[in-house]
Amino acid sequence: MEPNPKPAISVLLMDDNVILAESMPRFLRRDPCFSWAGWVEDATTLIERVSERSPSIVLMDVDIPGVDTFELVRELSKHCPRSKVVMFSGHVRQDYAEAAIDAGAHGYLHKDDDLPSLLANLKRVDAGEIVLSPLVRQTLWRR
Amino acid sequence: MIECANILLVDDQPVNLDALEAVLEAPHYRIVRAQTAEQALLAVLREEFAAIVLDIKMPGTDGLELAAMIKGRKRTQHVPILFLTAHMLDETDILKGYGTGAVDYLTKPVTPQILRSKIAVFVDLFRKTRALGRVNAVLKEEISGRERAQDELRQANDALESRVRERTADLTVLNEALRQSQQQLAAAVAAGNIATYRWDAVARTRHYEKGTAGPSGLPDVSGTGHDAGDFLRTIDPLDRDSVETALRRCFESGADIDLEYRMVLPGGSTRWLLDRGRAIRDEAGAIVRITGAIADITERKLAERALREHSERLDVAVAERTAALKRSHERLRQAERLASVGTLAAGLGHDMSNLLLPIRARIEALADSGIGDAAMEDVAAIREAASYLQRLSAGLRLLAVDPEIAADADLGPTELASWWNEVEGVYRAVLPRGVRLEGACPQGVPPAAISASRLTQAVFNLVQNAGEALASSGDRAVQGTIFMRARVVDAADALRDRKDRGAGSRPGYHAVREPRRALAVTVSDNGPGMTPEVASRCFDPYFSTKVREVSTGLGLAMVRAWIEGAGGSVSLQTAPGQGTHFTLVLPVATDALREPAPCGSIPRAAVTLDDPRTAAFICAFAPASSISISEWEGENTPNADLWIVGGAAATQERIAAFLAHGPARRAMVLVDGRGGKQAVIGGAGVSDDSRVRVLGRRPPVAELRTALLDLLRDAPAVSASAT
Repeated sequence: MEPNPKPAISVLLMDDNVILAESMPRFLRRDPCFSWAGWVEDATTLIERVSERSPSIVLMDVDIPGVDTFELVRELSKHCPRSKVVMFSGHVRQDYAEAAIDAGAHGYLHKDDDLPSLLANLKRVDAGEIVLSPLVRQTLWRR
Repeated sequence: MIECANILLVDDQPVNLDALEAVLEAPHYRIVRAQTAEQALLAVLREEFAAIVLDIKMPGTDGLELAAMIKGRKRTQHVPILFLTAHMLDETDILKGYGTGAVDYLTKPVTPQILRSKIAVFVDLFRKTRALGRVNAVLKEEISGRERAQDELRQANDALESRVRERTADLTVLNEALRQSQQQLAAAVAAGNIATYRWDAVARTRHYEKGTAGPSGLPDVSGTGHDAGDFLRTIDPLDRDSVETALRRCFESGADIDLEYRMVLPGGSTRWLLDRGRAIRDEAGAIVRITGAIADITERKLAERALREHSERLDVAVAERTAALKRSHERLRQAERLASVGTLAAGLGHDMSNLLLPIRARIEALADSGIGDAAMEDVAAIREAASYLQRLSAGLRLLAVDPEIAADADLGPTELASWWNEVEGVYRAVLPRGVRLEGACPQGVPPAAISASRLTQAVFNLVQNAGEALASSGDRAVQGTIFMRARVVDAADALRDRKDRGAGSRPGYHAVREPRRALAVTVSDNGPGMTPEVASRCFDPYFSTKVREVSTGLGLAMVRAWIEGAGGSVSLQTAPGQGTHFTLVLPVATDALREPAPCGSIPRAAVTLDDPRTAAFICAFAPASSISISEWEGENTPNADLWIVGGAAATQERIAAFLAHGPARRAMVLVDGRGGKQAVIGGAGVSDDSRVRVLGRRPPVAELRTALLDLLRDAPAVSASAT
């Protein structure tokens, strides 16, 4: 097998769902393009952890109790500009998706997205694109 | 207890003092002896005495001088002094000079009984005086208490008087008002419409008193009189019987007349009169006449009628308002129900998504882990179940969107087959036990021009109503079943009245409709059906019936509003025993993204931006808006209808050159500052018209979206530029 010339895309997850946090690393590692940069449960240690590990992508849940996650995206973009934030949501909402992009996120993905498309979108973010969940694209910005 | 009394004996001779003391010795007397005036004065200074027995003849200060000194002191001036004298005649005048009844004398030799009795009188006087003093003190205390009370009373009185004065002033004002009012009343009476009359009991003729004003045009005020027949003929026929009865009873039994009636005056006008009359009897008790007064109360009657009519109108208005409130309450109730269903659905859908993701991730990890074929079958089954749950979650999400807000500008397209795939699980979940739900949505049916969430909620209502009807029918012999069928129908018939409802011109509607075809989504049940009466009213917003619990659904009125809002229509076929069949006719949408029209109706945008983030974002969003992104090949590029340009490329010349290649071309310019806008607009053929939008270098997403959609909406001929 030819070694991957690019370094793996490291992903750090912020989500209060422990079951998800425990499943994600195993799932991501199936694809050699990805590596697992860890999990934080809430916002208190996020910036510290991101500064420390410098992940390529921070996958951030929109619903963290007591936290304005859009504001957190802004903070993170300021302090750790090398890590790209992708908001990871259970909501199909135009206002959330737009607020995420305005805050500096590189994408708004949905937890119901197909797993292959989820991975493909994370790769595109790493390549510099801005991505939207197909669920969001399907219903929003329609002419 | 008897008070002990002090008695002072003054004599220069101790023998005399002994004798006096012996005479006056008594249990309640205390004898004090003094041999000189000085001793005596000291004694009266020290204590109080009931009496002093004093020898006039003493060496040094004699008895008279001492007495004068005692009498001269205020505290002792009333102490009775009994002089002992040798010669009665010599001393009488002197004693008179003191002029007080409290001074007495005895001539020597003293008769013991007289001395004792005189002293006893003094002591008694002393005791009574003392008692009187005590009583006096009590009285004084009482008096001062009373004075205080009186003082308080006086103050209260003053306050009362002041209030009375104020009240009087008020009353004076009121009185003046009353007086004026009485004057006005008197003026009103004088001005009119009151006349006095008398009936002659014998001749039975009626006379009006001369000089009293009466209702204008009153017959025979001149006093010539007219008989009862003449009189009754002037009464409005409607009131004639009651007037005649009252008159007869007054003449026969003396009953007072007090009634209101209408009189037709010679001029033909009708006036309302108030008539009060009393029978007058002679000495023998026979009724000789009736005297009374009539007042014209026509104005009052008219006012009363106006008031009554006004009140009736008010009642109607109140009833209307109440009905309106009831309707709005019903709408609110339905909206609340919808909101609670939506909130529940949103919460469930969200939680399901959150848990399904790890399940799906684990399934894929498991599938990759080299398990055997048998285990792979299990994995496939789990994957299938998870996929079903994912569809359910999508269905819940559709149910959660508030159709009044989110779906308003969203008119599809909705692919019915995949839509049904997502929602049928949710629908089944709300049906009563034992009710089946079947759906038939053939592949190849074109998409509907309605938002998926609105369609979901509309059909949710119909399915829920059908489920309740089937559950309440109690017919165990028949398997309760609800069918959903989608099919293509002839639009000319199905959507004939679409234009009348004005739905086709909704702002934001840009799906291209097929003019020839429409979609019919029918929701049927094999339940009890509706009576014609129920069927005709079931779309009313607040209609409810025990026969079929229409109102327990979210309201057929809302279903109709949503479907008509999307340019469709709702119809109902039902009869008792024939089941219920609702048909939603929906416009067909041609999904431009899925099936590109041959003439290139998808606008093509070229992006030349210096901000990579905005460029990336536009590229991400554009496909959702049916905009394709094309390569930039210069201003005369043939493959761009829209140029999104910023940075150094955004010059007047270049934008003008781009626009010059076709009237349908548009430009969106992202530059910072007013100077930037001025630099782009206003020269070289570029005007700030509908063909150009200028925004900031990194505009907020919502602003960018609005501008982009506006720009393309104003370019109906976009496709022309590509030809």
